[in-house]
Amino acid sequence: MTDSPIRAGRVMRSSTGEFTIGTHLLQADVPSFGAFVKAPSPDGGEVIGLIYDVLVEDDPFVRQMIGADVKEEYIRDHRENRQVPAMVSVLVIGHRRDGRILPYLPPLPPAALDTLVTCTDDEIVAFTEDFTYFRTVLNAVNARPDELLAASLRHAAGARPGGGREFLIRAGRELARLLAFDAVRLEGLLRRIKP
Amino acid sequence: MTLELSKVAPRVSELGRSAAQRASTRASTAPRIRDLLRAHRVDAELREKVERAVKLRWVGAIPQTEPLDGAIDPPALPDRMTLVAADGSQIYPDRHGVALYYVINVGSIVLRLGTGDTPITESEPAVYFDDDDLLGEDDYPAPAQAINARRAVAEMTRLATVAVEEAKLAPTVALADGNIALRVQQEGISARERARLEHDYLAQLDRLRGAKIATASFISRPGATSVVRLMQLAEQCALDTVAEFVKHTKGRPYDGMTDTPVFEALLEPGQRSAIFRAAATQWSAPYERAGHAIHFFYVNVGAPTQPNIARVETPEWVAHDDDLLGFAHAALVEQCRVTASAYPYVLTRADELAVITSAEKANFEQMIGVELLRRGVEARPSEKAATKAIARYGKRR
Repeated sequence: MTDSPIRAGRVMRSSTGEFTIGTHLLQADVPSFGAFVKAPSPDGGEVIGLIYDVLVEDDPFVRQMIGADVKEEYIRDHRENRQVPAMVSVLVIGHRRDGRILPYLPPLPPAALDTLVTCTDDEIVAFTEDFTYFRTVLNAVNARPDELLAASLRHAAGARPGGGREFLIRAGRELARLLAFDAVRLEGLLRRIKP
Repeated sequence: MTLELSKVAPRVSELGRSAAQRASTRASTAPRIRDLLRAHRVDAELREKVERAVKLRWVGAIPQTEPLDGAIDPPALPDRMTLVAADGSQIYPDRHGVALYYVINVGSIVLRLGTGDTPITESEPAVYFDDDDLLGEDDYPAPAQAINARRAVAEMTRLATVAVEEAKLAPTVALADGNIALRVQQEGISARERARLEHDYLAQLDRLRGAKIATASFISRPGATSVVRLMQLAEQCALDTVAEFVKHTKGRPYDGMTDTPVFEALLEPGQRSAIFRAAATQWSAPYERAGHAIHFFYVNVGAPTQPNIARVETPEWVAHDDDLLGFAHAALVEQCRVTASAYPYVLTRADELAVITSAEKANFEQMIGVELLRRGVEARPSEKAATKAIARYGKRR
């Protein structure tokens, strides 16, 4: 459960359909795969997305230390002091403008250096009352669509009181409708969100 | 392309041949010099020769109390020890740039081994633009040698300041990169500035000595020949002909042999050589007067199959204190094992914290340009710099 947004990083590059942020460090409160996040839109609204990839860049200095018996102090130096360039990729699934949630792509992507924050539970619940974003995720090219959608549904269920069992059943029904032509894919997805 | 590789190819071939020949000569000569070290490991007559030669400005290694062929294992690392390192970088003044200034950036790290604490890192930039800082006696911007010397003083000041505080908590090793002596006996630095820089630098060594800090500098891939010169003195000079020998012996001994292959043949991984005192040179005289006479040892920071010899310089009060010397030796061996590069971790990090990249320099210049424009001052490089930049950008030939 998340009551207040957590600052996740700043936008490095963006397009209408997805964007990437740079973050200093991987730690427990940095949003994980499938988390709902938002960033300001240049038109005054908010772009809403799902984290679909977290990449820790190759660091030749770290590579030199991999074979050594490294003490805790060195590990902490790398994790907390060095600018470890973890990059978080976000699939855009909708936006919010004038207080209204719109489950389709925004007119403008976020600008460079905008701050990405996690959505609160209330915002996640409000956004996922409408399942329109399922199609955007299922058709995503760079993300792993089934894993991403399932992860987002688990996040959305967790944001609801009582674990969101009823929500997952509704989501499963919607998936059955969307994937009626692909029983194998549907089964895989349902297994991933089984309450 | 203005460097026409086809024209330099023959010289590259000669360079390769020459390097291979030198490597072969050194590989065959190293065991002989090592055997000489063993033969003269405790040699009173050699010490007498050295004493006489030093008075005649001979520049070899001066034996101390340990046998010359010593191969000494590092002591156990204490459970709790602190390593401090500092390094610096700079932007040199450029009278063709958008403004006349220079920057010295000093990076430092404090690593408290045995605590599990996150190391304390810092980068401290200083920007200079007053005429007194910028201009030499000839009214031209201070030359690179002067900036380098000022940077070295800033590095040593930071090293001492941080290390003195840490030494109150645990045994502390302070590490610097390169030679431990400040080399200011150069053209381009006025006598007055030389004296001031040397005074400030020595004052930092005084602070380190006062706090009993194991202070050392690390020289990677050393090219020194001082121990080889000592063996030349042992082998080729009689006690009563030292004066003639020193007077007439010029050039590099044993066909350009350096100390490194000798100690590759002598030291196992982790071991250090005996301690030697560096013969007085123009660099070292002020250090001797101040009680910081430069001593050194070699240490193998490589692996069993890949020896890697580094030269470590220390002031005399570290060289003659078994505890401080042991701390420095053990710390360097441990540091070089952290990475696969046989270079101390804390020095790598201090460099990383200090370095000013070309992108950062460009951003800084842009910041200056914006500030100047905001105040109505035209901000642009000289015609020469601007034209060269344009030509180089579209360089065809």
